[in-house]
Amino acid sequence: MKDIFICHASEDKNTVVRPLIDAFNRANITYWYDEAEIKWGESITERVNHGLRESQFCLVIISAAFMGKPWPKREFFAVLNDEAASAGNTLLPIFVGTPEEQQQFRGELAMINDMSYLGWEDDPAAVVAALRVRLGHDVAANTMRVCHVSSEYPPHVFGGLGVHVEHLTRALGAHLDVEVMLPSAGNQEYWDFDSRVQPNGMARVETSYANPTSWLAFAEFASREIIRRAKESRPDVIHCHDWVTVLAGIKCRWELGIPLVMHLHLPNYSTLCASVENLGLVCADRVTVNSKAMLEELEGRRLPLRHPPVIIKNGVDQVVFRPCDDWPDGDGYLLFVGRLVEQKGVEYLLRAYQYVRVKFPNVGLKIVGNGGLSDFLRRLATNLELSNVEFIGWKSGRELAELYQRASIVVVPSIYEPFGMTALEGLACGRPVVASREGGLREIIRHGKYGFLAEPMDELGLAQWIITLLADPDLRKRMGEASREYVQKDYLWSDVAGKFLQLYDELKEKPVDLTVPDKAQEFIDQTWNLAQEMGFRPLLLSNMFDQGGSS
Amino acid sequence: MKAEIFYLKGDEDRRKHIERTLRREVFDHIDVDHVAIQNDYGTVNAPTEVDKILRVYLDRLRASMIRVTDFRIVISDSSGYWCYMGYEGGRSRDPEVGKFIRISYKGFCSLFPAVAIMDRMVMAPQGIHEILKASSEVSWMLRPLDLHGLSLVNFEQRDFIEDEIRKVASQMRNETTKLCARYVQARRLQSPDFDELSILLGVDEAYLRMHQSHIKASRIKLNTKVLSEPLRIGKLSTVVLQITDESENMLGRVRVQVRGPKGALVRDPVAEILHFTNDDMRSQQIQIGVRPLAVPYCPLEVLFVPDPASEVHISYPVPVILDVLS
Repeated sequence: MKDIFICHASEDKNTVVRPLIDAFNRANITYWYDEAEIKWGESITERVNHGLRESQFCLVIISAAFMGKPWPKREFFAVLNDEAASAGNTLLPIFVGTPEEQQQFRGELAMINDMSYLGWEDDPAAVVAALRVRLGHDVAANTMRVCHVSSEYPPHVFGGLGVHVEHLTRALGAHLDVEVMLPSAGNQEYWDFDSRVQPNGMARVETSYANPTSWLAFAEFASREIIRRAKESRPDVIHCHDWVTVLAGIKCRWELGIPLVMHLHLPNYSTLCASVENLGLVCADRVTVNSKAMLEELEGRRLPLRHPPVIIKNGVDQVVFRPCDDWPDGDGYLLFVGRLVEQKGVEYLLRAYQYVRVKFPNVGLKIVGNGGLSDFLRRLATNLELSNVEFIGWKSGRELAELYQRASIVVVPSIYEPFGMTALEGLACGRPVVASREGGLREIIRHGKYGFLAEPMDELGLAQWIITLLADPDLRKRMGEASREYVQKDYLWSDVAGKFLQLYDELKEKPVDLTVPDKAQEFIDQTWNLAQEMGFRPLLLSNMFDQGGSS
Repeated sequence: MKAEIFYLKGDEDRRKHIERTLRREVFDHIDVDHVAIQNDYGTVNAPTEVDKILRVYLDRLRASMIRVTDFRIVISDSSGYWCYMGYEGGRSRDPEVGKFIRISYKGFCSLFPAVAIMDRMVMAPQGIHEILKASSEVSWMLRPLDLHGLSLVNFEQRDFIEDEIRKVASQMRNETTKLCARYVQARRLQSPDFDELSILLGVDEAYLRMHQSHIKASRIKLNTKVLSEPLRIGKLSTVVLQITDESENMLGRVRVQVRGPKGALVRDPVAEILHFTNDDMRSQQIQIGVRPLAVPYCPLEVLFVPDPASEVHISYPVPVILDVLS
């Protein structure tokens, strides 16, 4: 038995049905969908009837295309007849179009006029949430609660950490209750995607990456708030992201006796941040990283961790970053996406572009992102006498996806890259990637299969591989096709969530060891002294390991 | 771009003439600081502001000097009163500062007017050598204008002042152009980043742009051509590059440096010195061992570094693309 049968017009496949299917996959909702179910030579009528019989609900996508086509309407009327005969209620309508169009469709389908419905707003998550309620899916089955402490959450996303927290918590929300403790959201509230994921911005806590001590203050408030809330609803696991939030996790671990997961996205080497980071690493019950390169870096620190670190790679939002078969006419453009900081190596891309233009004078270069090097890079483009370089500023979501989908090649010239989310987004959009042989990029890009790797800071190497791809449109297409399959298989957020769920389950079963780990006090003292030098008294550190509850 | 005119109070006319000429000859938007010094300095207790000004004067003068040790100047008058020029309240910035040059009050007045541009003295009165007599304790000499020093000027004659300011303007332009040339070479650009240079050199971007045509005209004129056959991927071959000097006046000694993608050149970088000294030597060849890694092209960077002693030449990286067959 499937959860739902999807009744739709083929014209709505790309815009509505496929995004929904991706979201259903992530939320473990099973569905009957003609493309997947009807095999070559099978009777369509028979298979559709079977599908309708074998599905608990029928999701009907009612659009202008649907209204104009007989076949989906036949499916629709069959379900309506069935409903009338059984007095059941299995039809779940979604109207697509402008409010006026939706009104018109409802007028034409008088039999469902009194039925509550959803309007399609390009947000599969809203449909998933509503469906989960109808299906009664695991809402009560998994009573686990996890508390994430994060520095970023939509719409306040500045880098990979925010993207990770958004998608991981939403995917986890399909299985358990997730609370996300965050700094103040300022004038723009955090987005509420899912009833089981609750973002909580602390109004009084203003933070800034430029001011490290603001995160110590944040940790103090966040830990107090988690402990206060725990009296009513105690989390089973605390999950922190990077040094910025981990002090709150450590405090709650000892105070509440609950296990702590620390996910290291990007190591920080400035003194204060590194000492907090090291403290988190030795205190956490599990440390997770997103690449083998990060794992190796961590091993090089020789810290006495409680458990060997675990690699859990990031996923990519395959609803937004979808493949595109339309390749640009001519040479198109090269695309860079990322922060304009030294670490991202954009200077080397601009220098490489000088060489590319000798053979491909019409190929453009689009640079998406903001950062401290923005002015320098604009001037460099001018002083290298490069025309056709476009600095676009920061883009996200569908706008960004379109930029990927229209690019000829995505270039990731990083000098240092723990993971390489933009490479993954490029691959998900079916575009070959030329990247630096560095960090997580070495693991994502298979040289010669999904793109090419050049040594970091080697503009001639980058140019060489970009030219190879520009000179061979078939190679670009082959790599694009291979990369989309690879990403669809290996980088689903639902899989990432599955790995964390397994981790949470393991931790929940074990008692929390409340002895203070070796070296922890050393890192506490370091942090205390460095914070004092910066004019901040981190009072939280004075009673970090006080035990307030039982494990 | 900032100039400082140090002058004695009461010498306003000369100061104005210097300022007008600086604006006309060097840069019309030059930011001029009028640094007036009270005439009785050295004979009475001076306010600390005057000492501060004189310390700036000495700093600018030191910047245009070649000297073995640092020193202080002691001004004394016939009544027995004496003081340190630019007194620092007993603090010294250098342990060697205990060495002294002694001058009279009259000698002190003869140190003015003086002009500093870009933090160094570029004009000082003739006879300053005599005023600041070399002593057995302190060994020093003034650096000439063309060696990043100053010009000694007869400030009594207006024509001489104007002539010396013209020389200063020309020297500043040459220095700026040379710095731009070196900057372009070091940063491997096609043209200078005036924004950054103006911050680095402390001069207006407009001043640099004023000399843009001069900078562009100084571009090195060397043509590079590939003479060898297309390469085969993965196979080591010798690439022959022909480099031709197309400039009117031959360039003389030029260092040629060639880089390739990592792993593609047998030696990376390849560097050779070529001598473009007469018409028979206008075209010269260099050979490079290349094992290309990708088809259909292998990009190379060719950089020319001219002899720094020759006239100003702006050198920039030249992209050369080799054909590669599979």
